[in-house]
Amino acid sequence: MTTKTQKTTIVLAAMLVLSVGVTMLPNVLAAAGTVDSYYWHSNTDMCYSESSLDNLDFEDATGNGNDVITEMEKSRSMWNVEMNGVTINGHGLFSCFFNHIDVQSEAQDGAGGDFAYEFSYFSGSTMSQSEIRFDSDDGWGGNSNRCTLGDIDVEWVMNHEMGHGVGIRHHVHNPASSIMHDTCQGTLSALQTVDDTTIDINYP
Amino acid sequence: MMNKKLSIIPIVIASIAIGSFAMYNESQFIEGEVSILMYKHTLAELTEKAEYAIVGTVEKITPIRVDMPKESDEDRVYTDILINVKEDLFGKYQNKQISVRILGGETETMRLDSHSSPEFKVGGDVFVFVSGISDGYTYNGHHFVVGQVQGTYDLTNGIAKNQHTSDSIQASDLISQVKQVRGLQ
Repeated sequence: MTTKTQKTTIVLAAMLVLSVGVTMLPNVLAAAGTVDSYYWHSNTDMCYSESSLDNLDFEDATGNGNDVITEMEKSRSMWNVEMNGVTINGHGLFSCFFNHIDVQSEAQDGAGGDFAYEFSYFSGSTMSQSEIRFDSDDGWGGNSNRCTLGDIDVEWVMNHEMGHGVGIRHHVHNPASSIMHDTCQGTLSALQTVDDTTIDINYP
Repeated sequence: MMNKKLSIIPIVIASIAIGSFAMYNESQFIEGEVSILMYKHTLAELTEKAEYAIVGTVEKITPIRVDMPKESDEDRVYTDILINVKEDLFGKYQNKQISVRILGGETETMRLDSHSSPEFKVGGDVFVFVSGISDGYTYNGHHFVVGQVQGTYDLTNGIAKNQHTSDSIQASDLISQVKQVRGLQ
């Protein structure tokens, strides 16, 4: 028969294990790749928020962001071709495990501030998660080949942000030579020579 | 004998729990980087868009980790820059200090690198285009820098160097141009 002290010690140890487990559980689940299923839509490995795309204020008569999704899928196809089907951590490019694409309001800078953001997070030297955000407060347009207020080229920005999503950083030199320049260059609709070179270096 | 064996069990359980927790916390330093796609601003556009044009000296730099509201979003790091105000070129800001928040920074548990966010150092003299107080989630109650690196100049020995282009201009010429755009000169 155990003593009262031993019983108390066992109870305290069990409580400690339980509290640690409860603390760690959300992060364990996140690491396992679960997503907010009510928010993210996964379609053939593309991970985006349908509900938030409506907020991009893009020309779309149906109001469900279909035009934006179309641009997204075009960009993904382009990058997949350029990168010869490479996977990241065993998952396809822009899958829900790895990339999240949505639209949020970054209202602090108003219209004509920062158009879009890409957040990359790392596990060691390997990118483990990418979040792409479009700012709903800026005036977006179709394939305008422009970056003027109220008519920002969605195709260009999509190509640019997805470039970050595969680990390519800003190209800060000649703005006309790369779609990865840090300021909007709507006239470039495809990858340029310097972009191809960067991909070849990053993904030999 | 049985009591001795039973007395070891809670010690083992506790040791495993504490060790796991310690290892988990040790591995939780998060590293990330953010790329910001900016609208390309001219000096005139920055001048017209900004609420204030602050000339001052950096007093304090404070990073802060922010828990984002959506569960699937990773946390972010912002940094609050406290500037001792020498002058607002627009003549509107009257306080002696102003705090601007920038995206990126490093805390004890997370680092978020932002190459388009302006850089500041304590004691550095700066000229920076600043917004009014934001009411959004991440900048709530803070000012931010208009144009990111485009709207920030380092002042050294009368020379203003833009943090985006690295172009230098006489600080007096920069101030004059800004005031002209606003019709203050």
